[in-house]
Amino acid sequence: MEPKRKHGELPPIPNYPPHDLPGPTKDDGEIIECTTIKSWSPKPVLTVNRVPWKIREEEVAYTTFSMPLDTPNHYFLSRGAHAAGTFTLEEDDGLDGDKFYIHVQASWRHEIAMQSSQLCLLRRQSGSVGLGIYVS
Amino acid sequence: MDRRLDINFVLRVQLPTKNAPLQLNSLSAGLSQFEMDIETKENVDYGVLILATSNSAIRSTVCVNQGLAREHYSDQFLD
Repeated sequence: MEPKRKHGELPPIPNYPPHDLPGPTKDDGEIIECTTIKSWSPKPVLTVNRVPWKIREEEVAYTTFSMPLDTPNHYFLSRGAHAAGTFTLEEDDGLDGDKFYIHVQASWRHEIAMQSSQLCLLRRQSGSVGLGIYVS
Repeated sequence: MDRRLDINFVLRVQLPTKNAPLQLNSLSAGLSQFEMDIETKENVDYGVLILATSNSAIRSTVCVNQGLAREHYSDQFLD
């Protein structure tokens, strides 16, 4: 059941990050959506995207974002001290349409790391769309 | 620093060749429209994820994860 709101209080943004999670600042952009536990899959969309150097003790999960191509700008940012990672750009002849995809693999050893992290699709006032990585 | 909080992300951005002037060796041409505005993490003593565009060069410097005691580094400069 949805919690009661005070008079005049706006409804919550869907998938808005809980206050105890690191999340976007105003400068990062307005939240379009953020990952939740349901956003992640134990299997990648594309098996070829599986990174070979996964360490056995790690947990791994996958998610995919899409962004419109037709925006003034795209941006990616990362906040927090506990994230590392790689970022690759690829072209894909099979893609068609007005958007592109960002496939994300997350790997961690302790569940608290995943519970303390989220990725958010963002939009700035300029219309730019971005992806923010937020970790502890 | 609590290493239990360490987490690693691999981002693969797939761009349609049809909608942007993108061949991998001319990706920066697409990026000049695409403008990858990548920010670095602030006040971080390790685990830096950096991407920056400068003219026609794309530089990606990634993945130093002391928590998991592994290191990857790659640079890419595209015409």
